[in-house]
Amino acid sequence: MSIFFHEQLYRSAAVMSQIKNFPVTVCGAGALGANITESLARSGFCQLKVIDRDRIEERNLSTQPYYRSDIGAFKAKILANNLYRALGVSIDAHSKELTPANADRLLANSAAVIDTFDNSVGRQAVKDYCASVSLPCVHVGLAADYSEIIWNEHYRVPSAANDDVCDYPLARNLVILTVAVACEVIVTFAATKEQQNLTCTIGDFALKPLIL
Amino acid sequence: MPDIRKILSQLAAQEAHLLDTQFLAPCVPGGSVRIRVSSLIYNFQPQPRNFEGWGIFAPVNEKIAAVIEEPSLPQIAEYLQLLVPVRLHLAYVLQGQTWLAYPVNESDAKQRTGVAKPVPVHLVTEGSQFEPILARWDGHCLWFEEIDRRADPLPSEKLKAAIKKLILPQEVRFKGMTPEMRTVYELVSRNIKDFDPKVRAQQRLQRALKMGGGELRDFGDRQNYWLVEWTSGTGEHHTSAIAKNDLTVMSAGICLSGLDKDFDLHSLVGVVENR
Repeated sequence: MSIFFHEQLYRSAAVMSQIKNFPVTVCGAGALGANITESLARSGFCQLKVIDRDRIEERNLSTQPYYRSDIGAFKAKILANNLYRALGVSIDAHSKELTPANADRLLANSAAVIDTFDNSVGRQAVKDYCASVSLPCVHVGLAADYSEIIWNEHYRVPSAANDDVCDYPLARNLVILTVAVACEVIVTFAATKEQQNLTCTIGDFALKPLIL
Repeated sequence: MPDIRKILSQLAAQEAHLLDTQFLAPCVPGGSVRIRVSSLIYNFQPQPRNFEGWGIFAPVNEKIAAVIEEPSLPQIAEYLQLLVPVRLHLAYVLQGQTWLAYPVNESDAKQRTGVAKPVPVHLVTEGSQFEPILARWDGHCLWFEEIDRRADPLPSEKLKAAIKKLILPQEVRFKGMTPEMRTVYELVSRNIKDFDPKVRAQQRLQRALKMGGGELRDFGDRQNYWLVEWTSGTGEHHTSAIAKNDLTVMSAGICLSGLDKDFDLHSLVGVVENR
């Protein structure tokens, strides 16, 4: 029995085979990037690459899948180690900054790129490189109470005003909702090549009162 | 009878091939790395000489192997899978990334490694005092693999709290404490200066005198009591005999009309100052 037993029952063997061999590069290993990488790995994606230059900080622990003992270590390396220990899936981790100069090397051999960077310089480098070589790229971003999942053709890099700030309001539930939606967008793209552009808020949880 | 020249030429060919072969190995500072070819052991000095960690090595010559890159976790895990797993509690750092550790289960460790005693574990990259870890035994050394995520994390927190309060090993008690935990606690306490009986006695006397407003000058050990030299808040010098177990006064050094035992060191200071 595979560790992806339930996913396969839900998605079919054909889709599981497609996503297994679908190389995805995740730019960023923070709240969005790390959780997206973990969800993709646990959903059956076996060719994942993650790029992040940052180290783990105490304030990251509320939204990111790291441990107290990991504080100070590189996010990309710890994420790859944790997922290898958990699933036996080997993730290609790069603890370095993505720039226009190295984007071609870091994003090479990807079938899709997911941009979750927290700074406009990095996002711009990903957008420009992917546009120049027609590489499918989806940008996932959060604001205070909503999030967006937008493919490269429609994406506009936000202003640098809020780059790398650390005292922004952020709800874990919105992060996890966004991660789930972004991962479904990627699974859909891997299976059908359809590119969905979506936005969601915490209010988008489909909550219905239980009538007893 | 085998042709000795043929065997020698085979070995020479393997040796030549060895110099073109990269290999993965753990290394401690000042140590060597070794590989086995056709039952022959080859030892290499690492380059840089004081390298510590996991490395992928390439032989420079028959005696030296240079570190060319850091292996990935899957590569290290594949190496460690070949060795025997042992669960241990970390005690304290011996040197660099080498810790002293003690088995979580003595009987299990004895079956796996043949011994159950305090052992050095090399290349410990994470973990802290008392933390349960998984290490791998290669027949000579133990190599750190990971923090034992299956173990209950609370006992190590309780042991850490106890050591912070300088609780004596025989007095540490909590639900779920094992004899092995007590042993690792003893190992740690032996390595802490404050657990020295003389240092502990000095702290105890200092604390009692300070509460009363006095100050410890010196003290001597007299089997079942201490001979304490101290000064009161007014600067007067006194020498008193103080019981070791509860700090009651055996001889105050001043006339207390035979009521010495009604006082302890703490209250004695006040009595002396107000007489």
